[in-house]
Amino acid sequence: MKKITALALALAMSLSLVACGGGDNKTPGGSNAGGSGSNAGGSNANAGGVDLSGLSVTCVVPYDAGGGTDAVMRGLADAAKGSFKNITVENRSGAGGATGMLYGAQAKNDGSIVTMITVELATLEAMGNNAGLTYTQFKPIMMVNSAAAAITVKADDDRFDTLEDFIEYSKTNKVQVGNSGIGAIWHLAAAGLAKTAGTEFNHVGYDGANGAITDLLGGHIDAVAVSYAEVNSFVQSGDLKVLAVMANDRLEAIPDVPTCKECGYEAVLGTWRGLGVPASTPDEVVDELYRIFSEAAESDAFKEFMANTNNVIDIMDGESFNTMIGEQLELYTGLVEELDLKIG
Amino acid sequence: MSLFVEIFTTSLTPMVFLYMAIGVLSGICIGALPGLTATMGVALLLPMTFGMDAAQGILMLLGIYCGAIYGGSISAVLLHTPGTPASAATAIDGYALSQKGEAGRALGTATLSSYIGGLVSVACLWLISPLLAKLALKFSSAEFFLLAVFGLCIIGNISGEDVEKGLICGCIGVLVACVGIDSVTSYIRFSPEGNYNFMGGINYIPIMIGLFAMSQAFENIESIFEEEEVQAKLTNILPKKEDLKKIIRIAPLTGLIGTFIGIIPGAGADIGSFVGYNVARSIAKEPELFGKGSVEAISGPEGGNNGVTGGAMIPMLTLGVPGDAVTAIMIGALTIQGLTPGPMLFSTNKVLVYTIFLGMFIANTLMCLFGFAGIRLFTKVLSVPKVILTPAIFVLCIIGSYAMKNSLFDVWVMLIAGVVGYFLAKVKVPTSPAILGLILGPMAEKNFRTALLKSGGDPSVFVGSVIAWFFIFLIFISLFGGKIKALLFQKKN
Amino acid sequence: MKKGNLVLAAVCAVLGVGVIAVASGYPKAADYGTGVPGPGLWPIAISIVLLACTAILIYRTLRMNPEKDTKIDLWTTGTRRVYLTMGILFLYLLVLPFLGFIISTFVLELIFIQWFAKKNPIITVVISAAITMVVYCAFRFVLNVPVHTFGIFTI
Repeated sequence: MKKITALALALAMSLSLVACGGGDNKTPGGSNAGGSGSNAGGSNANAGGVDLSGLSVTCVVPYDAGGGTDAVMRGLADAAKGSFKNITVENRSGAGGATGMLYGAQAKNDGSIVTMITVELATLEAMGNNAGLTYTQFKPIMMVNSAAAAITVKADDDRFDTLEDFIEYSKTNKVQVGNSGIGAIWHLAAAGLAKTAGTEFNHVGYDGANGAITDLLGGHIDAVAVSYAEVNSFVQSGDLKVLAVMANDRLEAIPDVPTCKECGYEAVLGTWRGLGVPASTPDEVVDELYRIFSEAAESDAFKEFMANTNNVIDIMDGESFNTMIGEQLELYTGLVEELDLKIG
Repeated sequence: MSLFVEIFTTSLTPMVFLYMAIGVLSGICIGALPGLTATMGVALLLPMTFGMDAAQGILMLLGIYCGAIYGGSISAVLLHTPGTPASAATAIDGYALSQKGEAGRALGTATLSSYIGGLVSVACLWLISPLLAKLALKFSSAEFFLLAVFGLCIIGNISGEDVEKGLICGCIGVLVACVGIDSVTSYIRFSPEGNYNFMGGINYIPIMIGLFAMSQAFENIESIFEEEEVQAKLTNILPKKEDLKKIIRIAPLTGLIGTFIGIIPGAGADIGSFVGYNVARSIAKEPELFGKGSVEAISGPEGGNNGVTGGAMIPMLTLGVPGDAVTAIMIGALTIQGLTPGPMLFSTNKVLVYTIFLGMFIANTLMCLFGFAGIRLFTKVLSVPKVILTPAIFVLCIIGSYAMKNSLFDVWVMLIAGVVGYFLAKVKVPTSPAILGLILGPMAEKNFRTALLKSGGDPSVFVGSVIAWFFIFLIFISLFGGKIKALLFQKKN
Repeated sequence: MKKGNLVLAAVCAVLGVGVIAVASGYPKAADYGTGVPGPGLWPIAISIVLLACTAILIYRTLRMNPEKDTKIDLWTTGTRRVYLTMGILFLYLLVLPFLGFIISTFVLELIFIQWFAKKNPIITVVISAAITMVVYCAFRFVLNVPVHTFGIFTI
């Protein structure tokens, strides 16, 4: 009997801890109250600005828990938790992100469901496997972070010291460039670079960047094009080196590495993540969400979190973000057509 | 020695023990619930570690990992419901033994074997990890393909009497896994136009829940009004002497094999347990008992799947390369703490590395203690009348398959798999080959084609390395080993 | 058993042939120009293995010793109960998106437990409510699974 009591006690402790850690989700029926609060907020919108402090917000991450997108969302939600009644992160992965984003696009429009929208919002539609998902279904709140593709090779690879070496070599030889999946952003980024440089790579798709990096470390492929955050630890340990980044400016973490632009190849490609709500959401609600989340993104806690995870904070307001997504869609549509990747 | 003093005074504080105990306990619960896997458990509790220091956080996650891999076997034995895919192989004989009223014996075997498997892998992690880590990088597409084919050959050994029925089931599993976007060309296969549920592929966890748990529940319904004659005997929780002998013969070996499988990136505890089952069968004293409630058949996969835990940590700690999905999340947990797993960790943060080694040993011990202490509690499930337990299992199956991706489509998949599984059982088709097919089919196909993509279409990549030949040898043995053995014995006689 | 095996073989044959028919229409290796087999090769190869196993199954079934042939009865009181159960579960899944998890699960448990256990209705209600709430709370609040986001009461 003692044993059982002890077990039950420990279990209860663990459960209560889980509840605390998952944070903010322990009030049953809480969202009900939150819902009515937001309605009230919506009706007195004329009074300028809405009060969302009574709202229970769910942040939808269209990818699995434990990944990069999930980490950024959880970090941001944690930083914003004081501004809402409660805030929870929910993972709805599947179909390369389409499942979760479609869910978010069709959710309630009172601001209670905020979706992390990512570059796949543009690439999936460009590829034609968007299952009806398009960016106009969202009203973007803000962009939170972005990461450019980093062309990375083995550190002891004598063939390539600069990006030029790599491009020139690829014109006469077959180079294997790993990416996180066919049609995913890093594939398109590498393909985009090859297009501007007038060469061709042999693209090898993996399930996620990890597989590609491991294969590169083992010397089974020649290069990978993934975000710097994903190869950072191997660059630091001296196993890998970055030849160039496909950003507008050099990265703070690796100031010695040139951008592709500097090397003469006009390729600026990479991933970005932001927040969005269904397109029918009232502007006042979006404005208030922007205020709350941009404040959270400026907080020291979030900055430290992002620095630790090697993510770059890159804030953009909803309107410019929306324009940017439109431009990105055009860019990727052109790229996909040119590379004959369209599937849908 | 001073290192250990430092570890015990700085990082292995009572608080850390508490976190680890919490981790192991939550892990066992998460693992025992169908649909909640070790990966999900670790991801679920990851945000909790943000506020802890590195040692506390990582050790709690380790506790969840070890606990969940073990916990899956509890429901597999008691309810024919593998809590995680890593226990699918245990369900075959564990449930058969439990049906005979020896659930305690089955759980005792599973607990001890898990512990031994875990210990062997921790020993490898501790003593020879830098040596073994290099192995992880030797694997590329061709080797992964051959490993997957070798795994598929196990179907022959888990099929029981009618091998062709097992193969049919395995093939159907592989075909179901083909549905959705092809990962090499991104061509959409076998999907209705524009349906994103099919496009993303059919998840194998709901299928596993349906084939094992749901179809078993249907079978229970058939005889729901009959008297329950099986009563759980709980006299022998600690394995008896002859069982102990069998466990000690099998678990350390499958634990070692599990460790190697853990080291290989992308091969996790599910594969480890099936390979463990296979090895146990080939070295068992009583292979004829397999499928009918053999202690050896529980010991094999349980040693194998917990062996993976330490193995998967080896490339993660030494190279910064994850050994499976769980360790990929752990790398994330360490980076959030501002630490970088990899060769640098050993030089810059030696205390943490050895804390993890020691912590893993403690987590396994805690798992074993909780396991044995809990057996009486777990088997209480069986004293719940069938008329109430079966409807409760329905609900658990439904919510378990929903929980994986929060999708009602998955619940439909589970129910259909349950109906199919019920009829398959009627014609005596074993269903575990389908799980093997679902896990290994995509791995085989993808790597076969990626290997050819990298070699420019040259098939010689498949015989291009020592590891490749090693697997070809294993495939050959598992296909024809029985015949060769029979032939040799015939000649002798 | 004989009949059952032959039905299984027929289903597998249809499946195998069907997959081959569909997959042979998929792009070929030449369409990609990389020397990599197209998306149709693997399903076709597996279907061929499936068809081969089916052939073996048919052969062995036809040669099966009649004494070993056990009868499979798919229409007994027991199996009819199973079919009804399956029907109820299908219905449950159909109404689940509209009624939400709590209501539909409670009703489901009510039906099954009353049917199987034949207890006092009050006890049935209590047990059903207990199972529903324990599962709901454990998944919703401890495991953070959003089981509340569909149905009429989205609490």
